[in-house]
Amino acid sequence: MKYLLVCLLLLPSLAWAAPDIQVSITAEKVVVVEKDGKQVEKRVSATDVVPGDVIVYTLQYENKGDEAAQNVVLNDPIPQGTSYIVASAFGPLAEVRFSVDGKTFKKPSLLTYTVNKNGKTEQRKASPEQYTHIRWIVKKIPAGKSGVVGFRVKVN
Amino acid sequence: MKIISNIRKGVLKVVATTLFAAVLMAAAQTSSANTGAGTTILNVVTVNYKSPGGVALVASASASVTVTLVPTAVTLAAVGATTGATPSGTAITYSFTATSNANGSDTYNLNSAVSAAGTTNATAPTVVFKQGATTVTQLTLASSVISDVTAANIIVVPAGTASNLAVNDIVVINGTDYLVSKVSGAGTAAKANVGATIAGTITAEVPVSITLAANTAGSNITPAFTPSVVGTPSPQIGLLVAEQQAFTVDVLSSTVAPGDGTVPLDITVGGPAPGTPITAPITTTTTVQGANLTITKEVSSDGGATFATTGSGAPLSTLTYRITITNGGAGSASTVVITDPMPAYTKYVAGSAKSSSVAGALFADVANVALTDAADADGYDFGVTAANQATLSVPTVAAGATVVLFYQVTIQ
Repeated sequence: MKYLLVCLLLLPSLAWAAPDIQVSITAEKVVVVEKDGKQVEKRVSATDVVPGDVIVYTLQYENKGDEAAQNVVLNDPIPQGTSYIVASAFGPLAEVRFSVDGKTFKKPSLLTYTVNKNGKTEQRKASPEQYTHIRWIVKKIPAGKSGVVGFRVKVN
Repeated sequence: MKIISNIRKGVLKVVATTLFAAVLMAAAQTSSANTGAGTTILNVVTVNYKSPGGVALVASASASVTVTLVPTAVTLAAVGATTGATPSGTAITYSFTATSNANGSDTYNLNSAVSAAGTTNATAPTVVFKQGATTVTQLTLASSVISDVTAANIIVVPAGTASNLAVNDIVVINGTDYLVSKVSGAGTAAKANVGATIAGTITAEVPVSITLAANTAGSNITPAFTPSVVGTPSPQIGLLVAEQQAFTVDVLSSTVAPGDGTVPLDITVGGPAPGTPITAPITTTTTVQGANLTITKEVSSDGGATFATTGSGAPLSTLTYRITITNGGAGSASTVVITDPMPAYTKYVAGSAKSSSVAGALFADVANVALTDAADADGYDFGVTAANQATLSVPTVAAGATVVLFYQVTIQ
């Protein structure tokens, strides 16, 4: 009985003393509608798309724990069948990094890939369509805080 | 998707790298859809983080989007001639193929309409679409997009995109037709494994493998695709695998006046629901060969040796009449009935009727066929169909054929 009491007292304290990041993705597609004679972008929930559609992925994160989360890294491989749209990644409080192999993440300007040309290897700057992964790095998410990052792809 | 990426890369270097440019290209891409309908686009995000105490934690989430069909007009092509001639009342058959251009399976209506020019001397045509001996009103054409190539004759399409594609179907890839010899099944889409405390992973899709062979009834070209190797995706990735089906159109019309008729008919494929675009028409032009009968009546006062349109004869002398029907048209005439009431002041010579199929035949020709005055199998009667009238019924007068009828009267 005594042990049980101790356990009961300990359990909640363990649960309290941790960050708890929850993450969700929403997929929306961009449709162009005519409004007052102008073409304006509108976003609608995307359950199905056709080739050429632009999908906006929004990743919402929230720290539901009672302690700050540190070195938060969101990794998102670009979905198969889509191509990343240049300069579409956003993350107000985050550093954004890209990868062409899922291993090395760099800023776009530093991202290269290797080609073999006439027996010599060359380093070439990767184009946005070659990106395979996006990573957002948030140094610290205090308890109870949330944020949004995201990117756009085009359906091949 | 590498080939597409490379193409786009080239464009991107020219166009300013703005989101606007990307959206513009997105619009242009729609016409060359290169993801099959039914493909699942799966996005999995993983968040790794640490507690202040340094404990590594993880969570993940996913979003799934399905690629849908872009209704697209098929490619309609005539096989063989689109002009032809047929006897009035006999159908003529034209052959076509329809090839999908969509990113998935779709159903298309087969349509026909008399061209704006309209028919000439012909009834509104009866049109029947067929595949083999079966009458059809629609075609269902399978289609998908190559996502990989695993052997010179094996292509891969995303799971769920090969509906209606079956063994022995004809598919067109980059303009060449092949025979489907094996389809591996429907495949299974990629699946996300995510949760509040696990790193997100993807259970890879099991795509559909399609084995192709030369289409001996068509191009007879052996498939020789370039399989993907590590680091170099196959250049065929992104190409359509589009089903092609053959169908025929039977056009039946009849002439309404002597001579030939013309039936211009526009054949289209597509529409209406759910908005499948309709092809430009291919016009078939059918010449309906009609009968063109001419009739002459001549008289002889010398017992049927010489005939003329006028003659003379004394009372009680015998006149021999020769009635000639000639079909100068290209089509046969059916149910031809010659009726000839007796002229005034004459009396029919019983049992005098004869017929011939030779133009210019004379009354005494041995080849002539004697006709009885009773209504019987010879088609001729006198006074039965109508009083004091010679009647000859001929079931068919073929193109170019002649029917000659003789009979004699006595001048009163």
